[in-house]
Amino acid sequence: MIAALRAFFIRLRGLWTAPSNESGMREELAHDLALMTEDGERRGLSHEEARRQALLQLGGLEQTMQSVRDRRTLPSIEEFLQDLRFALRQLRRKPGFTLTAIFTLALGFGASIAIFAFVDAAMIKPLPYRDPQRLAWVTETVEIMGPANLSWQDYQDWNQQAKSFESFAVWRYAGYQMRIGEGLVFQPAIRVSANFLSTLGLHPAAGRDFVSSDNLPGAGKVIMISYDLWRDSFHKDPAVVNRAIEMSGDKYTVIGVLPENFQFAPRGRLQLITAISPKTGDCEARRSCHSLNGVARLRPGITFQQADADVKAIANRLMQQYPDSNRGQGGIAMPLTEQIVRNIRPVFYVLLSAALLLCFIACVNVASLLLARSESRRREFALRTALGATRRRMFRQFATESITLVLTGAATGLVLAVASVRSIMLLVPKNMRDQMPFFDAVSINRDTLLFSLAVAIGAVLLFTLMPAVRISWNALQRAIAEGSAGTGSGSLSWNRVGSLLVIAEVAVAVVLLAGAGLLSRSLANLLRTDLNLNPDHLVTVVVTGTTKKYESDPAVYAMQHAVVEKLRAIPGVTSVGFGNSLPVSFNGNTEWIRFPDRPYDGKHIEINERNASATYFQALGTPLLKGRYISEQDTADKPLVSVVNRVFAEKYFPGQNPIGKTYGNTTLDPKSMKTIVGVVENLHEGSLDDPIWPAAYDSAYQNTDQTALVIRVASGESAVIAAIPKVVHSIDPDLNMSDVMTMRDRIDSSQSATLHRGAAWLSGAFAIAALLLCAVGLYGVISYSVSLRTREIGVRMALGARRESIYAMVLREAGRLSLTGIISGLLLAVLAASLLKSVLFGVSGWDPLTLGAACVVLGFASFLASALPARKAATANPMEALRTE
Amino acid sequence: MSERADVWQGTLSLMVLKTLQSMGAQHGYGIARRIEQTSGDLLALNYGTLYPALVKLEQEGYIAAEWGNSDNNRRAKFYSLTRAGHRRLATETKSWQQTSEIMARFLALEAAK
Repeated sequence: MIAALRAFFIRLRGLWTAPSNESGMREELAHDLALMTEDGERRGLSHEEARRQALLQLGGLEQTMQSVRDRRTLPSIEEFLQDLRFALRQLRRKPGFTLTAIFTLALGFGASIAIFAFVDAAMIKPLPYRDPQRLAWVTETVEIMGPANLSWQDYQDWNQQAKSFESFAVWRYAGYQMRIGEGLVFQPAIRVSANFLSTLGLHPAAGRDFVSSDNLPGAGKVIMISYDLWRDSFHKDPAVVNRAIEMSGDKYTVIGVLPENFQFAPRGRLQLITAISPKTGDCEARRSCHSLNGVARLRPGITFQQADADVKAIANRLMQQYPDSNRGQGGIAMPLTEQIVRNIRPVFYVLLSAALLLCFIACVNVASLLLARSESRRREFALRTALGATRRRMFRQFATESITLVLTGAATGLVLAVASVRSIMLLVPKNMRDQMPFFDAVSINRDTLLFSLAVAIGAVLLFTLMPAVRISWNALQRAIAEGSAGTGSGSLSWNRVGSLLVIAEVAVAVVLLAGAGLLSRSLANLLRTDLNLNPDHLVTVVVTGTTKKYESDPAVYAMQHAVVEKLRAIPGVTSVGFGNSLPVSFNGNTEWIRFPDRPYDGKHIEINERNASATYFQALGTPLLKGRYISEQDTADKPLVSVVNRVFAEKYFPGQNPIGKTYGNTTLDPKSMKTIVGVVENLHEGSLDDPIWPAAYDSAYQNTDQTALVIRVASGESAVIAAIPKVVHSIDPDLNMSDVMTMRDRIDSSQSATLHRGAAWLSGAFAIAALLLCAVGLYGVISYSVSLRTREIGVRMALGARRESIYAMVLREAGRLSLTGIISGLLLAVLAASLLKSVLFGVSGWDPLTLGAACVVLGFASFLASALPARKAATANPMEALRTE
Repeated sequence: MSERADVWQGTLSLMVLKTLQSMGAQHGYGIARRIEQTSGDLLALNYGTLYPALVKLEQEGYIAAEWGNSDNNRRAKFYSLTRAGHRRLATETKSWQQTSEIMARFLALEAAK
C-alpha cells in the first residue's frame, strides 16, 4: 500500500520531471540493444540481422520508450493537461466567441446564484436555532382570520395537556422607552414565558436565563438585553447583570445578555426580552384576551400533523369547558419556518424559476455558438480522427473545452452575483429588513457555492453532449470525403439542432416576458388599489406615551389634544386627525360584537376595532356616506358611539339605514352598547393585497390607545416631517415617535408593495436579458445559415431571383423558427401561470393582453434579429457569392 | 495492487526480484538473459514489458538504480535490491509458494476423479 502510494507520487512528480529522464532512458536501451546485438553476432548472425532480431525481441524501440514513459508519469493527467492547453489555445484564438460565451454564461449563472443566495437565507435557514425543523408555530385560530393569538390562560392549559411538545413557550409584542444616559430610546422587545430561549435551544451570552418564577404574578421585573445593546451601550461590561435600568417608568433588573447574533424573525430586530408576569386587570388575567404567539419544540418523532391534531383536540376540550370565552377558538400547529417565509416564498420561487430559465437561455445560446463552431471545426475533427484520435479522446477534448468555458463563466457569474446581491439588498426597504433579519445572512456561502457547482455541472453536460453527439463516425467519414466540409450546401443536421435550440430559446423567452408582464401588471394593480383615502400630501406619525405619566386616561387625552394642536400650528399643515392604528397596515385587533334583538348562536361576530378622532376621516380624505363623523363632544361621560365602514353597514344592515342602530359585546353588557352615528367609505386598514373587513371606529375621546396621527399638508411634506420631532418633544421629551413618513412612502415601502415591486423589477430585468440573448441567438443562427447558403443564394440570383425574394426567403425561415418558438412559449406560459397565481394581484395568469404583448415584443425583436442577416444575403454580389468556396 | 489481477506482471516482478537477489546488481539485459536462462529458455520474455516493470519496482522502492560500468567498460544502468525489496521478495515468495501448492493440490484432485 505504502509502496503503491510512493509510486503514485513519483509518477505525479514525473509530470514535470519526466522529460529530463528521456536521455537516460535512451542510453539504457541503447546499451542493452548493443549487448543483445553482440549476443546475436556471437550466434553467427550478421550485424544487421542481429540488430533486427534484437529490436524485434524488444518489441520496437519507440514502443518500449513509450511504455516506459507512460509508467514514469500519469498518462491520464498528462492527457488532461494537454487537452487543457489545447482548449485554452482554441479559446484564445477566438476571443470574440470566448468573451461572448463567458459573458452570456456569467449573466445566467450570476442571476441564478444571486437569487439562490436569497432563497438560501430566507427559505433554507431563516431560523438560526438548534434543530429548527422541529420548531413549531402554535396558536389559536378564529374564523375571520384563521391563525390568531393565544390567551395566557389557554396557554397554561395547552402547555399542561399537549403531549407533542418537548417544550412550549409563548411571546408577545412589547416595546419600552429605555433610559440610557440622559435620553429615552424606544427599544422593540418581546415579553416571553420563561422557557422561551430554551425552547429555541439558546443560552444567554452572560448572566442567567429566565426561570419559571419570573412568570408568577407579582414577580420582580427582570429583563434580558440583546448582545448589540450590551456591546454598544454597556461596553460588554459583565457587571451589567443585576444592574437596574429604567424602562417606561419602571425599574427592571438585568439578569442576562442574549446570545450574539440572536434574532427572532417574527419580531424582527429586537433588543429586549422581559418576562410575562400576569397581574389582575391585565390581558393575561382574562381567558378571552388573546395577545400571545406560541413557539414549541416538537418531541422527537412527532410530526407537525400529530402536533396539529393534538392542539386542535385541546382547543375543542377548552371550548366545551369555557363556552363563553372559547367558542370558535380552534388551534393550529405548523412549522415555524412556514410562518416566517409564507409571504415571501412564492415570490422567491417565481424569481428563482425565472433566473434558472434565464440561465437556461444563456446556456442554450452558448451551446448554439459551440455548435456553430464545432461545425466549422469539422475538418479539424476529421483530420484528428484520421491521425488516430479515438472517439473517447475527442470526447474528452470537448469536455475539457466546455469545462474551461463553464468554469470561467461560473467564476465571473459568482462575481456578478456578489454585486447583484448588494444591489437587490438596496431594493429591500429598511423596515422590511428589520422584519426579516435573516436577510442579513444573505451571502455567497457554502450552499450557494454548491448550487453554483450543480448549475455548472448541468451546463457542462449540456455542452459536452451536444457537439459530441454530433460527431458521429459516419459524418466524419463524409466530412473527409467532402473535402470542403463546413461550406457549400451546409449540413442539414446542423440546421436541425440549431433550429431546435433557437425555438427552445424563444419559447422560454416568451414565458419570461409574459411572467414579467404579469408581475408588472399586478404591481400596478396593487399600487392602484382604491384605499379610500388620498395618499398625496399626507404625513403620518405614531406617538406613544409609555411612561407612568400616561397611565390615566385624562392624561392621554390631554397629551393627544396638545399634540394635535401643536402639529396643526406647523406652517403648511391644513388638518390633523388621529386614530389608534394607521391605514394600510393590518387587519386584526378585532372585537367581538353582538346586535340586540337578533338571535345569537354564540358564534363570534368579529370586526376590526379602531379609534377615530373628530378630524381623522377628513384629514385622510375618506368620504362620509351617511350620518356624521365622530365629534369632540363624544367624550367618556357621553353614550358610546361609533362610525362603521361600508362593508359593516352592508353586511349587518343590508337594505337598512344603520344610523341610530346599536351593538354591544357578546353579553350585550349595557356598559358596552354603542350607537352607530355614521357610515364611512371602506378605509383600507389591511395591507394592499388584503381584503376589506367590517370595521367600527370608536370615539377616540371615549377610550385611549396609541396615537396614530395623519397630517394633511398643503405642500412641503419634508419640511413638516423635519419639524415633527421637535414639536412633539416640546410637549413631553419622553414621548416616543415612529412611522414618521409620508403616506406615499408608507404604501410604497409596505411589505406587499416591496414584494411585488421586487418580483416585477427582477423578473423584468431577467426578461429583458432573455430577450437580448434570444435576439442574439436568433441572429447567430440565421447569419450562420445564410453563410452556409451563400453559394446557393448566388446561384439563385445568377438565375434571376430578385433581391426581394431572397430577402423574403431568409425572413420566412427566421419567421418559421420564431413563430414555432412563440407558440410553444405561449403554451408553456399558460402552464407557468399556475405557479404564478399565488403572487399575482388583480390579474389572471392567462391575461390575454399581457400574453399578446409578450408575443408582439418577441416577434418584433426576432424580426429585427433576422432582418440584418437577411439584408446582408439580399444585397450580396452574386458573382462574389458564387466564388465563395 | 495490480499483481493479482495480472499474473504475468506479478510473476515478472517476482522473477526480477529473485534474479537480483541471487546475482546482485545487474543491468536490464542481464536480468532478462538470466530469467530466460533460468526458465530453461521456456519463457520467451518480451523485453518491452521488462523496462516498465523495472521503472515500477523502482518507483515502489523495491529496487534501486545506479549508473556504473559494465564488463567491457560501457556505461550501463545497474539495478540492485533494496531492503524493502528483500522483504517484498520474502513475502511474495511465500504467497506464491502457497498459491502454487494450492493449485497443485487442486489439480491433483481433478486428476483423481
